[in-house]
Amino acid sequence: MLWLQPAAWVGLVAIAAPVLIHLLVHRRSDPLAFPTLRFLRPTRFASLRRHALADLALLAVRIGIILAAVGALAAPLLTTASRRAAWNSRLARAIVVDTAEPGREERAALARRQAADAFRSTIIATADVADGLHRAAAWLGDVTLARREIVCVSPLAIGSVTAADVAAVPSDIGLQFIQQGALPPSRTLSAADVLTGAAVRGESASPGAQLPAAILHRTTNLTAARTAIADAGLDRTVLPLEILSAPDDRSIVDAALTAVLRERTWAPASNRSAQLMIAGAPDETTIRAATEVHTAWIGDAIARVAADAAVTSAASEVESPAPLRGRTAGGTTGGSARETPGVWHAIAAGADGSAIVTAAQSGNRLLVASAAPAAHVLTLVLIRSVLNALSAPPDFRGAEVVPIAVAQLNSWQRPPGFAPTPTPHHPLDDVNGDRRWLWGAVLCLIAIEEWIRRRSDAAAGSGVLTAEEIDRVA
Amino acid sequence: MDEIGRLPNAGSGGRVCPPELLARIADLELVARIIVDGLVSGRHRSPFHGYSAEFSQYRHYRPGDDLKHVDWKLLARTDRLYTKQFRETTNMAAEIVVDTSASMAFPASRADSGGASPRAGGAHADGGISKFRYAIVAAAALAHVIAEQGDAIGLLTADRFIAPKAGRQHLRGVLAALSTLTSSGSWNAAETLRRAAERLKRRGLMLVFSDLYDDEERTCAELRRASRMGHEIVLFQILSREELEFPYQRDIEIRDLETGRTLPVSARLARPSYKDAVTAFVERWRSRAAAEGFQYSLIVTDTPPEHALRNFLLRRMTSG
Repeated sequence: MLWLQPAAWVGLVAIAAPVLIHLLVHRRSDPLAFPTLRFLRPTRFASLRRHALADLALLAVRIGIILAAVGALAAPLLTTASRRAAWNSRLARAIVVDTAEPGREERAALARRQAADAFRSTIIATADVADGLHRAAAWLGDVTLARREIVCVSPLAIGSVTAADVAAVPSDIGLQFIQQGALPPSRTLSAADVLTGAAVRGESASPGAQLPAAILHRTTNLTAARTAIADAGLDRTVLPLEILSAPDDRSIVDAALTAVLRERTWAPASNRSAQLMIAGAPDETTIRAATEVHTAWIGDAIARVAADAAVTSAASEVESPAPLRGRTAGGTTGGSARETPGVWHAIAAGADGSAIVTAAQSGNRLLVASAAPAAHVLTLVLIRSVLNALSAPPDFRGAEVVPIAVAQLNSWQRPPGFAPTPTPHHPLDDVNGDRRWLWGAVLCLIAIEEWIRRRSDAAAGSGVLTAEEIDRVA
Repeated sequence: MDEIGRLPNAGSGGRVCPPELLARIADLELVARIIVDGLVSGRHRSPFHGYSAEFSQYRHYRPGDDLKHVDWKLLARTDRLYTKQFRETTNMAAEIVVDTSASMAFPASRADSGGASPRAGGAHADGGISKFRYAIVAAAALAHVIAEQGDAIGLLTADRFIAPKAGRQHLRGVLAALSTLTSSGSWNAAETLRRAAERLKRRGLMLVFSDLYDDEERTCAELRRASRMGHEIVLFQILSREELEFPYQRDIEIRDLETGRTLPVSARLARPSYKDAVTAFVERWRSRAAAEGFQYSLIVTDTPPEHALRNFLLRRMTSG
């Protein structure tokens, strides 16, 4: 048996009321010393009634009334086998419908048919199927007394649903994927700009000077499994990265930067820039300017660089790093380069496990320090990673034109589990529990209580004694 | 109900001492004197008669002599008035019999009402007086009256006996004994009355103070026997107002003062039958007393003792 409103049992304290009444009535008896009892004829004595069985029965009935009423308020629910079978024969269904064109109307019609077959249902129309899955699971979480299932009606392009989305759905909720509607044969996106070093060639760069850079507008075309990229236009811009290195390493660094720009990186917003400090660079002023990270995009950029597998891999190959200097907020110098307390965040570790790359904030710029030699491949990788990290990479998941493989979908699909056991946290709008039986018991007990009281009062009025009372008097 | 407590004051005109005040005065002799002083105005000649019947001599009649002592036969023969004179060889002997059973301790104080034994002879918590105390006070007052006339007075209870004697010194002894009496347990009324009748050497007066709750038939039989022995029987049935009217309202656990037995009673339901039974009980004693020649007085404890005793004495004098 389940109690759907167990908090109602607090009402049991009301049992104290009839008990107190009986106790208080008992105290109303006043003792009196009297010369003789010879003139007192036995009547039905109130005090006798108090001790008589009828009064105990009355007390028991009153307590029973309160017990039954509190029990009814606590909403009992008997989970019999037949009930469980009935619950398991029903199906609650949440249908997630992809609103993308083409095929929107067909999917909506299919969703309505699916809903019509269910005991309870809801249709979640969304352009984000993964989000629709989460919403459907949340809706089914409040549904009890039926098996539960999510039906996803969508073209189901790659990326629209991932294994993580499927894993987030509780295991007793069934999953059914219906690929409905065709994906477009190709899709062309012009969502992002890229940075290049178009003007590098032919221009000399003095140590510490900014290299020329340009922004290209990139167009991406997705056709079946083929992706075509076209960059066009050329807008000169200021390179958002300043590289500090030893004068002897300048040529190496410039070569690395040139190579990265030739390969192109994602173009950052105009107000974002970074400083990269290579080992051996005069760093006193820069280190003094380092502070704790307090700008959101700089924090995101540090996280992106730290998550860059290429950086991690290259850093792990550095065996003899130069000491990193001065990483405290106060700008004091000295100490090991691999100690990164205070304002500096470790990004990548060398072969010996010590920090090779650290990062901080310097004014409104991202500051990255590397302990690897300038000629090490880490310098090249780090330049590319820092430039790419200055802005979030474009998301092409919504532009995919290739559907998820049927085999993959089949592996995600599963039948609905058994109907969950109702709990107080799951409102039952379709089942009222078994409280009606207890309310019926309350009415019966009230009738019995009334009958006992009338019988007792009638006997008291007539002065007729029961055999038990006569025995007591005797 | 013809009870002394409800008779008019019979023209006393004097101040009376309320029962509750008398109950607070410890000196019983003083209490007796207060009551007797209150009786003086209504007392013109002795209500008690001696039995000194031995003839002494004749003398010429003088105005004021009691006409019943005039020798009428001698008047017929000699045509002169002569008054017979008697030599008083003995005085009247009176025996006070007091019921010392626990039932006389009612009304008990409230503090005692739920306890095991009520305070014997104490005043009621509401300012009233217990039946026992009332009986002691009334007995002391009558003893005083009798002793003042030169008659003998004695005392008998269940466990105490003082032979009747005259004299002030003896009176003090009787009063002292009265003041030390307590009410407890039960008493055998018939046995006590039998002893009282047998210990009165000659015809005497038995003054019985009791609520008469004991075996009515046996008690009446002993009183009848005493009367046939020549004793004059005076019954003072002392009851409280509560016993007559049962004024309680709620459910009460009534405990018998003598037996300790308890009875839960719904007072409202029990009152009518109780009052009927008490009325019948009092009437039975009244009719028995009238039939047997006992002098009977019902005294209610809320009546000043002066009133009760004055009415008793007046009735006694008027009855000759």
